Amino acid sequence: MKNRLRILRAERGWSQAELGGRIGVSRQAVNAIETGKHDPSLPLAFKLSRLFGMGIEEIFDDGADQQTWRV
Amino acid sequence: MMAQISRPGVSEPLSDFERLERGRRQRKFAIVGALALAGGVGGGIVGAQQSDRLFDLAHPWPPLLCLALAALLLLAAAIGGLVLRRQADEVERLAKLKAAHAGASVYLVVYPIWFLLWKGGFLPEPMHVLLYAIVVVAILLASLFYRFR
Repeated sequence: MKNRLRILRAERGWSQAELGGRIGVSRQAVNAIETGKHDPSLPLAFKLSRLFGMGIEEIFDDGADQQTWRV
Repeated sequence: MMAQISRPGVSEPLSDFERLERGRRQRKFAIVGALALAGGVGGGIVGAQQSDRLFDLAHPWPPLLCLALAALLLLAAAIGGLVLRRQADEVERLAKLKAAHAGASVYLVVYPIWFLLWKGGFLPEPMHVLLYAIVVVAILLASLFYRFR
């Protein structure tokens, strides 16, 4: 699943470890999500949503509406 | 969470989040190390007592030694599994689950094929130790694949 996590993280100047620490996962987990190798669980997606102050669908794109994100 | 510490030999300091990450990694290594140590102690005791007939599967071992090792294995699997699970996040847990699934799938395919080939006279009777080793290797390979793909 495509996502804007890397962009959102970069905008805040956070490292992967820092983002991981804020949502309670490892740096490797953040990397796996950013690169699309892992689709986060719903609870983790909600944590990200709350952390960035935006809706889940604004962070993640399942491709259903043909919308594409620049990663 | 803004305090920073110095990293020896590197000009960029570690943030608190990076220290947390490092601590998580060190705890995981410590747990795996403790489990490996328990395995090494068990294996060492067996090796010292049964060194002359270690690979003779028909040769029985002392019952008390077997009971003690079985209890050690059970304890290590229960405690180690629980502690490691608490350290793992959802990505790691999913990778372990997929690796376990791969191991089970390998067993479900390899054993009946070996059994049929044995019945047909093509192979010797299935060996449980070898089957166990094949499953362990399959799980390790799958773990590496899901971790580093």
